[in-house]
Amino acid sequence: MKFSTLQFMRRLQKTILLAVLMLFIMNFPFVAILDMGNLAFDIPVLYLFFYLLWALLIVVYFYIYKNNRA
Amino acid sequence: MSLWLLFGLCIFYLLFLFGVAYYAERKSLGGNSLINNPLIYALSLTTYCTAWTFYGSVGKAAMTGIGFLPTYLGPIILAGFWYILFRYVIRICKIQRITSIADFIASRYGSSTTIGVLVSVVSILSIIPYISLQLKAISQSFDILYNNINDSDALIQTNTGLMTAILMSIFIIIFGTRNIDASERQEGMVFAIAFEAVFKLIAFLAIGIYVTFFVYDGFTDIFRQANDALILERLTSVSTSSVGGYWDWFMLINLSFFAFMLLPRQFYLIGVQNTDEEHSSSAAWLFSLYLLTINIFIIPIALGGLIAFQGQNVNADTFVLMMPISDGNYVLSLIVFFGGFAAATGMIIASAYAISMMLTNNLLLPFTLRFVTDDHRYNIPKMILKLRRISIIFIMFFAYIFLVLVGSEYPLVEIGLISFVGIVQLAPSFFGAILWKRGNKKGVITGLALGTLVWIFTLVLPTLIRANLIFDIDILSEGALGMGILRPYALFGYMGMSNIVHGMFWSLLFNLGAYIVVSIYTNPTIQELEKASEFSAIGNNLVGDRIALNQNINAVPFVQIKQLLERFFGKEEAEKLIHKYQADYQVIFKPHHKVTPSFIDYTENLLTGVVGSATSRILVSKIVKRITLEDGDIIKAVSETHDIISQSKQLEAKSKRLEVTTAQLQHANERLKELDEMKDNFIASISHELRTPLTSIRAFAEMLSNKNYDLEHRKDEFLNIIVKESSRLSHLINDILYFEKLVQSQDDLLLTHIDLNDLVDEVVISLLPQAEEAEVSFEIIRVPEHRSSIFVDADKLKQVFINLINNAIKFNDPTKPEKHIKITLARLSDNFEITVLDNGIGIPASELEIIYKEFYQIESDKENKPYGSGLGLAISKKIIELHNGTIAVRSSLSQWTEFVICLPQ
Repeated sequence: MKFSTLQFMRRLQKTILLAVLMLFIMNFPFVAILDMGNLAFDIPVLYLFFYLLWALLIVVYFYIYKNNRA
Repeated sequence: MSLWLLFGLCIFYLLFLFGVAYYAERKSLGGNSLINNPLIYALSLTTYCTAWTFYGSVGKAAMTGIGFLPTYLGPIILAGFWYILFRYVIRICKIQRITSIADFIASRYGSSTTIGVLVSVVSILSIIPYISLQLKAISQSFDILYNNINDSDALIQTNTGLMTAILMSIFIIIFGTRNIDASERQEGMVFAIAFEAVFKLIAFLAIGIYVTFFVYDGFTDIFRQANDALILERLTSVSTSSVGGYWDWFMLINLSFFAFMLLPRQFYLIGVQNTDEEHSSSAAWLFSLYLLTINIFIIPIALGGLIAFQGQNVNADTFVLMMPISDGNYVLSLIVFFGGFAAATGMIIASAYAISMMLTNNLLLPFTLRFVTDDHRYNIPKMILKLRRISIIFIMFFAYIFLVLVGSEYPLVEIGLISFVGIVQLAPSFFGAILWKRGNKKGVITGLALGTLVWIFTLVLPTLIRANLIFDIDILSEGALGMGILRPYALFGYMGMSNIVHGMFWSLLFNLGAYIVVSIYTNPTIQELEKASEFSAIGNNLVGDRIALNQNINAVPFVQIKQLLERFFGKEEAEKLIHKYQADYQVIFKPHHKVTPSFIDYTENLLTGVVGSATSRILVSKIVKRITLEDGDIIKAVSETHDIISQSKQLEAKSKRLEVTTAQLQHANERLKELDEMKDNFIASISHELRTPLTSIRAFAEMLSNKNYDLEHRKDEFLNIIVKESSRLSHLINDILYFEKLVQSQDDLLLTHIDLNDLVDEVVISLLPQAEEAEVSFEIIRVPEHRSSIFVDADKLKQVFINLINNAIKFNDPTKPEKHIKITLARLSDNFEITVLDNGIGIPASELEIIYKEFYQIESDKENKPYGSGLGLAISKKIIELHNGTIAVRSSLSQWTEFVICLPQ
């Protein structure tokens, strides 16, 4: 995979943004909003949130990395 | 199932693993690499999921609910950066032939032996307990399986731990220490690790699916039952998952984020065993997917176990194994056991190999080689391999000793996390190496030493104390030396964090703080600068191809380098390596040729692969004298810097001048605009002024010429008006022309000696009619006769007096009973001073400055415009200036105005 410096920098910006976003929504106070013991379909909302976020992240990584394959 | 059958199965599994590794080695010798693809790369990195994940995560989930998750969230976030971080590390490892994290950090800070030793010690101290943890998992699961299957009354304590330790040592020695060059790929080992990754995933999925869908009726069923049994309630919150709540959560995510690639085995698999840097991109999402898959069933198994074993004394760490056993499903329990076995052995192989490399290269070799390099009786390659083998055995031995002494007291998770905190001490120096060029050796040594001491005090010491190995347990509650602020679990008295986060926080604080502060206040050596710039050159060039690095090296004969290579690689191998270089660079060296700097780099890197960066540097330095910066160079560098600074100063000055010019231009522009506006005003006013007399002249002339009117009796009156208006018109035009002339012919003065008293008298007499009309009286104070002669242009100066006195008459104040003008003439030492003072309406202070401007007329007069063109004062000022004199004005509104003219002689 050869890509230009510009593409590289763009990707770096995207990744940093993503990581900051993740750190933000995986922590206080965002997590505290979901952290009230509520259940959805009998499953705690907090569990659903983390696992769905995780799955979403895999899809995002898949696309970020795929799009940069020349 | 007999003990021996179970043992036999274990031996069979390991033999199978040997076979897998052997198969991969054979394939790679045939030119067919099995590990050269992103999937195997991603799988090999899942040694991150050890027996700790396999057994411990379920245990942790059963105790704290979601509290097990941060260990995986960190790496998932980090995965976004793999393409850049891994690429960087891989390139540096390849270019510099680095084989361990200790080498990486030591190399960046000037191939420092001290740092190599420190990092190795920290890594070995952290990882040996972690390996014993795996041994513990194996022997514990073995005992559980054996005792439960056989339902024996007397629990048999087997010594599986020791057996595993021995077998693992053999495996690593066979597949890891055959090649003298450690930076070469160990295909067999990596492939075996990847195989184990698949095996542990399958096993864990099997038990997960079994518990979720066969024991219970799907996810929702487990959660519903757990909720009914009042188990779920305390397991759903982040805030209650740890003592420190959200803070602990945050810190634990960071812990795994940083530790992920600092764990020696992870670093080794990421950087050294990578076959193609492009793999890091696809591996990122594959790895995340693997982690998610293995994590999905952790909570269901934990909850399932809690429901099933409610009220029984079953260790939550063993739920994975106990669930199938309690149902009598022995086949599944065997699969699970071997899944855990795979997780543990995969980690042991990679870790023990990685830290044995550090032990050999950074701790044993530097001291051994000092005695043997010059002694030709020793076969160095053989000796190095022997040392590596001894290191592996030594490490496995100590892991076993730790298991016997301490390990049995602790749950899996706690030991794993203590190791993580130890390893994360490398984070400041490692990430500093990548991101901060300023960070230096002294900073790393201070930070690492302080951080490690705090780590030992806050986490390792309490562990040993609680295992009754050292000191008294009172230290935990009373503090070291009886000081309350020195309690290992509550440093400085604060207790709001869990032990792990507490230790992590304080150790990293001291570590990072010292690293930054010392780095800022001390200077790096030339060697460090050189290495730092090599590293950053690689970092800055991640997009393009690798760049060649050159160093200042004195000429060295080829034969010496060749001998060095032969000592470490053997004659044949050295010949091959030299040949490869000559082919790559299209050069041929004769024995006494001087070699190129890049060949010396090549040699140093080759040796780094064998003995590590610090030792390699020492070896090469013995024959290569590096050019250090001479005084001349320093002066040159300083003068260059000086040049650059002065250039930048010049630039600054120029830009300042430019600013001044711009301001001047702006000012001039404003002035032009002002003049332009004035001209417009003037034209408007002058055309009005011109038209007014013209209109009346025309009107009266028309009336006179009209025969229809009988105007004979008013004829004189009308003609008078016409004459007056005509003279006003010509006066106005004269003024304009006169001013124009003054402006254009600056020094056209007709200088003569005249009497000032006479001149003023003449003017006053000519203005008497107007003065009388306005009832203004004059007072003149003359200069003494013998001193009244003045050398001026008489006509022009007369004009000035006319203007000034005329103004004084015009702007009289009708409200005052006595209106007078006082003219004072005085001769000072060598100049004349003429003052015209009136008690008229005065000039507003705001307008004092602008009265000399061309076409200016006093604002208040707009409605009743006085007889004038607005040029009088402008003309006066011009004339005085032509005589090199000055004119000044003072005034008090509605009281008085005073003009002072000063004329030099």
